[in-house]
Formats: sequence, structure tokens, C-alpha cells
Amino acid sequence: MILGQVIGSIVSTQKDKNLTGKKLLIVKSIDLEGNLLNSFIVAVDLVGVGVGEKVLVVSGSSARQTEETRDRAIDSVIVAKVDSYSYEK
Amino acid sequence: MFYAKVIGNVVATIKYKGLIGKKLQIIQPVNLSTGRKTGEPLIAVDSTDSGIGDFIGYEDGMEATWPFEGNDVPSDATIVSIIEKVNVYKLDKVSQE
Repeated sequence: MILGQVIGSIVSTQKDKNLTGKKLLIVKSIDLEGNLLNSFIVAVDLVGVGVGEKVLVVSGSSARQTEETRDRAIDSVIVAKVDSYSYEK
Repeated sequence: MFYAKVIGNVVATIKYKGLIGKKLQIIQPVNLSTGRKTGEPLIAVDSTDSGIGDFIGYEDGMEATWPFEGNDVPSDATIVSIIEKVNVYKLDKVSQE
């Protein structure tokens, strides 16, 4: 899982049937110090987060291992809203 | 399986229902024989009971969901073992026979 920050959302009306009703958010990955990194991904929101919040993103086929995403064209999902974290260098 | 050291943890109260009650650890991949870092830190779901400072083995990708047989745990990195001791035998020559 990677740490990310939600920086925006995507509106798309013409999309595959099995993506209907899924909220798409743009997530920029961040390092442990909180600096925004260059890479970003579009992820399906499973928990209900908003712009600016720190989140955990699961990618790859693991993203389809939930009831809401199974057998759908999804390869990254937001699975948690991060309250805090601590680490040693 | 890859190896890493647990360096921290993440607190998240709002999370997907399959992850409720699961511990989230920040891990730093390392080379076990040299102890050097081998990449960027990542966040892993804990299926053992590891703590900060432990050397652990983790699975990534689809295999990371296998320790949780309920099949509703979205995880792309899962801690599956705690390393107690490492033996590395260095071979000077590899036999061709």
C-alpha cells in the first residue's frame, strides 16, 4: 500500500458499465515526510474521502479483492483515510 | 517473499470494512545479509503480530490477500513472517556438474 494525498476528482459520464457509481479521485503519492512526489494515480474511493486528505491506496489485482470491486475494470482503490502515522528513521 | 524492517505504524479509523481490526505497519525493505535499505518504505497489513524494529517477510501483489481467507481484504503488501535468525552461506565456486 502506498501513502497518498487526494488532490482532485474526475468526472466521467461515458464509462464502462461496471464503473457506474464509482467515485474517481486523483491521488498524488507522498513520502513519509509528507512531501508530494511526482507520480499520481486515479483511484476508486471505497471509504468516502475528500480533497486534501491523506489516504492509503492499494493497487494491482489486490484492488479487485473486495465485494465492491470484484470483476470490474479497477486497479487502484482508496481503502483507508489516514489519521496519523509514526515511524523511526 | 521479500524482507523488510518494521519502522512505524499507521492509524486509520475510517477504513474499508475488510481492513477493520488489521494492524497497518510502515516497513522499509532491506537486504537481510547486509542490512542495507533496498527501496522506498511502504505500508503493509500485518497478519502476524510484528512490532517496530522487527525484521519481517512480506508478500506483495495478489498473494498478499491469501493470508486472509475471507477474500474481502484489499491488501497489496502483507507481513507473513517475523525473521528470527538469518544464515547466509557464501559459495566461492558453483559446481558446474
